[in-house]
Amino acid sequence: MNPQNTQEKIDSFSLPDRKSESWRKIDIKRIKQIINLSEGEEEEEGDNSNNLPVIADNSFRIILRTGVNDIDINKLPEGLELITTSEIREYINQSINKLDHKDDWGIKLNNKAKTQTFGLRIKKNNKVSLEIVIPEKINKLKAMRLLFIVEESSKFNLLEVITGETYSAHSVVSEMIIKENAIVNHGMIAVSKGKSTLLAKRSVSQEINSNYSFSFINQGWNLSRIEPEIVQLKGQATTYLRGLQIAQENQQLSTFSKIKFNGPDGNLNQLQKSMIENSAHSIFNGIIDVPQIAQRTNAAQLTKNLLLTEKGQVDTKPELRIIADDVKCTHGATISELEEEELFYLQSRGLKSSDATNLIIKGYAKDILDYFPLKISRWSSLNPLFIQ
Amino acid sequence: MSKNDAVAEIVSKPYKYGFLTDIETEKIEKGINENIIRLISKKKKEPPFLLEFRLKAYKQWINLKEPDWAEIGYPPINYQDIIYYAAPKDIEKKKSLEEVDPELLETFEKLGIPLNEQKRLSNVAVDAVFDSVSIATTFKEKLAEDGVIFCSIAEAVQSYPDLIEKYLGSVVPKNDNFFAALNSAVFSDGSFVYIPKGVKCPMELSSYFRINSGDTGQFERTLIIAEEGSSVSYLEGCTAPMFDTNTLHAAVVELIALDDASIKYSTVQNWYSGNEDGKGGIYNFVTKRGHCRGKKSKISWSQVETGSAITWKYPSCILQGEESIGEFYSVALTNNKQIADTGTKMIHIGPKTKSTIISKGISAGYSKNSYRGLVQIGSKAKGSKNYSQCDSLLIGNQAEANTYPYINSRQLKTNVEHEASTSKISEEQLFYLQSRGISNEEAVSMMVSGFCREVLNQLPLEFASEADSLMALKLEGTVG
Repeated sequence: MNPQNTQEKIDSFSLPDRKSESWRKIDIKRIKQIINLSEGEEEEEGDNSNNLPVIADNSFRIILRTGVNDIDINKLPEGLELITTSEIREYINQSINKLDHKDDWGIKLNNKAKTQTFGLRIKKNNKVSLEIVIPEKINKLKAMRLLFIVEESSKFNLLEVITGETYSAHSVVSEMIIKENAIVNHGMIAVSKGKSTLLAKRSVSQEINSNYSFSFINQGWNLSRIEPEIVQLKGQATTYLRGLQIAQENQQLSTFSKIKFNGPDGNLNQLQKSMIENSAHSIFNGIIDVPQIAQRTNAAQLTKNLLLTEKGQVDTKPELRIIADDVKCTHGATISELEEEELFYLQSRGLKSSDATNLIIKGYAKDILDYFPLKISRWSSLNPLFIQ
Repeated sequence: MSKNDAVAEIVSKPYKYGFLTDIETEKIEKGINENIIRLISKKKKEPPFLLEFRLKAYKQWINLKEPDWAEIGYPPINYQDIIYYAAPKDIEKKKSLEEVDPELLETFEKLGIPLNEQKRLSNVAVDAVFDSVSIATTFKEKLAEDGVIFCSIAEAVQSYPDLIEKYLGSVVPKNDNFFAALNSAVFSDGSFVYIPKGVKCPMELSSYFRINSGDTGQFERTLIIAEEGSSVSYLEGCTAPMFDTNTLHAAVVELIALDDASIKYSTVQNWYSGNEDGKGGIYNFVTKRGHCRGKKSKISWSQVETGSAITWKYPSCILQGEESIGEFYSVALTNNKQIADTGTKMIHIGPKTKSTIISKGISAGYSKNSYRGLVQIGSKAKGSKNYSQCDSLLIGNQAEANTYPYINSRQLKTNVEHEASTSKISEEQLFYLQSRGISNEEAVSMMVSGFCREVLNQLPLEFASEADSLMALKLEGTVG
């Protein structure tokens, strides 16, 4: 881990352009709170390593703390290799540049902060299961830059767990380079207790015949912005995106996804679900970009929103840009409340009203939670829904 | 003939309304400033409130920025290089059609809109607008028997100033957006419709817009008011001659429906779209909005957009009255280098409001066809429902189809559903039809027509002459 101390203070950092479509709906007051946070010293790290659940079978756990290098290279499982700082520099921005990010505010913030870098290589033909835990820095901003290179024909299960309890903020920018024939099952549990902020960019580039599945849960942040951005470099790859957003109290949770097909015969299946309670605000923006070269692309996007209380707010905006003519692209969006009929049916079978509601919600979440790697039921202290 | 050839032939029929009428016109000098606005107002003998309306709009327009969010990408428009008023000479509204310049009548006849008594379309009253002024309005007397007012805006300003003062700008405020402000400052003519309480308008009303001068902008203004329990169906058609310069068309349409009233507004837009290389054509930047003010009122927009170099419009409904209904049915066909950025906004304010959106985009050649829509459910719109469907059909591998459906909801007791698909003409279906002995061209035509059917079915039958322009594009009905 290599803290970069040369960065200037971010106090003077300018706010994102509210006129831009992707920041228009974001509560700027909450962004200001991030900028006003100072960056913490090493010892202020929240340490909850004693409370962590058991490690899943046949997997390895890494806890990413600021400035503490507690990864023993010798203990890394077979097939995993730390990437050197110089190599990280070489690779960094590679996938991000492919997605035309010139003035991305989230990346700028990450660059300006005292960013920690960390990189891992999953070597050819190996199968690795890894859990990465990113705890908060109490009442401080924590910026991380991660790089994963998944080499040819390897199989990589990754579960990231990002948490926050205090008025802290995470800025995590990660890049994953997936080579030919590699299969990645990526899960992210991003759960907070209502005060912290999360800005997470997940930039992924896929070579042909690779398979990338990203499932995530976004819950309990004062403000969150999860940005999965995937580019199929030459098409002919498969991508699954499954997001569950649970917005409560007065939280503002958002997902901005972008998928670009730079070659023919790509596949995408995207399902985004939200549950909104109290006066929370849930935002989804999903770009699918199919240029002329991407013939025979097959892309499906579905957004479902479940409003559970009167005051919740939902914004959903699919964006499809299609130039190739031989494609199949579909998208759908729904906003609704709990089905009276379903509730009635369950109650007529003897379930209490609250139990019936819970059962429906559980089923609603199951579509997403079923696809996480590394048994997430272990993390049920964060959300009881994880026990399916 | 291969499939692509057939498609190419179908979508690239020449523009048959591109002729220019040689008629003496009175034009004012180019450019826009307060004096020009005073001059337009004076020429139209307008009451002071309207001049004030125009001047205020102009002041607001100067401070507004031309929007660029749609990333449409057109060269900058020089607003000082446009003539804001042009009218055929001596066109003080004639008492009878016999006094109207025969050249003009012939123009409209060529366009399939006969204004002569003998040849009039039965059961359709027409208001014909040539450049900046209304030439003739047919069946006025017959309509007056039922108390229906159908005339040009200019005439309404003279005869019914109270109604104009009360409703003009009440749905689209003068500073609503850049082009609406420009229109409010310099609007020339357009149609005015007033349907009194309880009256079902006995015939279809129709306006026909013709841009003739190459350097004139057209800024028409349409205002339709449907009082309690009334209903009306209104049709609008547009054509222009071929010039290799771009002409600006910035219209504003305002609809107001009170309790139990219903307005159906149909458009067949066939402005000149420029040549194959995208030279020339109309910039069609229009603001259309309907306000369902009353309980159980209904506003329905249907549009067939085939012309214009750039179309940029979002006919919208503000659903304020309880149980009011908004509908939007649209076919947008683009070819060559045309750009269409169109869609709708359904703003649900009142409880139990309902809206339906059906949009079909067909893009061919190097064109760009976007659906951009907003469905907004406000916190008081309990029990509201929306269903949206927007489908795109791509013909050729250089065309672009974009979809930006935006949904915002603040209400639990609602149901919003949106679905969309993008596809091409399926080889299998084409093969099937051909195997039944249907020629390639007919098969493509049938499939395109089937693709648009839900929308075309919404067009009033009486719109025969305008649907003709559709036929020219062979979107519909070429197969016997």
